[in-house]
Amino acid sequence: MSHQLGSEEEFKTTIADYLESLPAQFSQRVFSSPAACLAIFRLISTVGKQLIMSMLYLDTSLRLQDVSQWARTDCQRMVRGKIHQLRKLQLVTEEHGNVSLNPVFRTQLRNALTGGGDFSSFGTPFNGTGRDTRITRTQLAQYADQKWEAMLRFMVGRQDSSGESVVQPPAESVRSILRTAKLMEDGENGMAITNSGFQFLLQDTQSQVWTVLLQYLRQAEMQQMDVVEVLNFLFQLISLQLGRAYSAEPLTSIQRRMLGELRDFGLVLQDDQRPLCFYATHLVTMLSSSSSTNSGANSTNSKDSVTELPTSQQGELAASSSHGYIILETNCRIYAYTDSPLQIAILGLFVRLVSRFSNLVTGALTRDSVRQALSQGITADQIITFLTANAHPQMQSRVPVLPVTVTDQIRLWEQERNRLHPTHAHFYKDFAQKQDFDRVLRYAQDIGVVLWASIEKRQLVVTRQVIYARFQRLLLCVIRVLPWAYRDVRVRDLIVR
Amino acid sequence: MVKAVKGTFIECDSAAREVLLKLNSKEKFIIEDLDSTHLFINSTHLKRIQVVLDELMDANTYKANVVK
Repeated sequence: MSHQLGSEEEFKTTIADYLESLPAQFSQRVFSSPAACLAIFRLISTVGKQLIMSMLYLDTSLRLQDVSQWARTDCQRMVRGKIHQLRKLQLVTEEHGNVSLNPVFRTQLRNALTGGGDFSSFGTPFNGTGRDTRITRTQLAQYADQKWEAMLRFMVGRQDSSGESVVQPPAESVRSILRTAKLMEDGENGMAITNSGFQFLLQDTQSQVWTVLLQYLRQAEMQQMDVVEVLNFLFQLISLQLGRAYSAEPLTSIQRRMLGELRDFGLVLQDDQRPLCFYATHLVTMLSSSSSTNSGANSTNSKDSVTELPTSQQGELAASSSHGYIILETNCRIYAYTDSPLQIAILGLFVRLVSRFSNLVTGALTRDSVRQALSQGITADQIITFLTANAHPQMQSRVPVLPVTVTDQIRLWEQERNRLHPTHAHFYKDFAQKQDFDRVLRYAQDIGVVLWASIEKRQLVVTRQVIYARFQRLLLCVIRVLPWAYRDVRVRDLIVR
Repeated sequence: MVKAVKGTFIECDSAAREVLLKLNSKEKFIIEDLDSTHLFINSTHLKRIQVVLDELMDANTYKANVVK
């Protein structure tokens, strides 16, 4: 795995990475929509927001030095770093030590905050104003959870012990995203989940939605769709109001196609009787709210999203993500108050399940069950994060949430699997003179390739990395000075390669 | 005369090192026993000894019967 999955921050930086990678003329077009500007503004960090707010109503540029004066001396470095980040996102421009907001972004963010400009980027309400009562929030939540859960259950797939029949496969667009995101791959009997898929399952919903959306963007790029339109529409969706009907009429053909595809994920709902009307579900609207629904121990922060979401009978995920259901004892036993086959299947990834009652599953974390999960590429940290995030309210009130004995044990089990830390290396020995050895060692230390060295034994182990090439060059120099070494065929051999 | 050898450098705990030394008595793969937590071995044997070590550790683990 190239990046650690799991934290929500991680995913926000990934969408930031995506924006950074866009060429300048693309970003200008993205910024031309007030909704996109507002959504980006909501996604950046607090310090970034503060900096942007301070510059928003300045028409002239500021000296970079003055900007860093805003912070305490010990934080100035951080502020400069932040400015640099904003510059990479092309929100801020810098010329001759003067910084200012990107003019397009500035204008449109002002428009977004105070009204004005092209407000249709925030979505055109269907049939004018007024709350639509035909589809209630409860129905929306039910619909979204059902679709999203169907996708997750499809991923867990055949391990589902309760259903004899294989889970109904989701739409082709969903499967193709899962495939290109390498969350699942085609096996001999249908699609099978991959290591990153297992990690995906343990994440909170918000991170999962981000993963899917980013993958959607990449796929859109591959299909030669206009990325700016796709991005603008995504940002528009994020800023839509939950439970309100929006008109699909002003959308472009690409955006209508997206609507159809995102519907399969449960991110939007389209009314069958009124095809030109759509709703955004809580899965997308929650993305821009800074309080995550269920990341870690900050359960108190998620109050707004709880009131936002009506808890529905079927909406197991939404309901349980805001109410933890797992009790973990110090003796590694687990009691999970759930009847959702999906949650049971996810628990089954790393828990040895013992008995199942109508609203409760019991089991235990055993060495074997955890090792099995580890061998599937799930990390100890992911298991711990998952258990913490879904801990029962009675456990949430404790500090730390999970018993330390158990978390330590899970980490120990993980460490136990990698008792050997191998590194490809070269071993040098039998230096004739101390000064030869010292010289080689010193240089190797300078370029940071030493893995191990013993001055008494005159032995040295250096890593065989890219950096090693530099070490070889030195060795060549040393050998010019110390011709004896050159006579050794093995040393010469190393240098030639 | 200085000698250079290509191989794999291994960092491990001393218990694992003892196991490796024992394995080495059957089939030589350790090039140099550096110190109590470091070994330098022949790269081609790495996969095999990782498996053997894992099996050995597995066999020597007491499994408490938590679940009735």
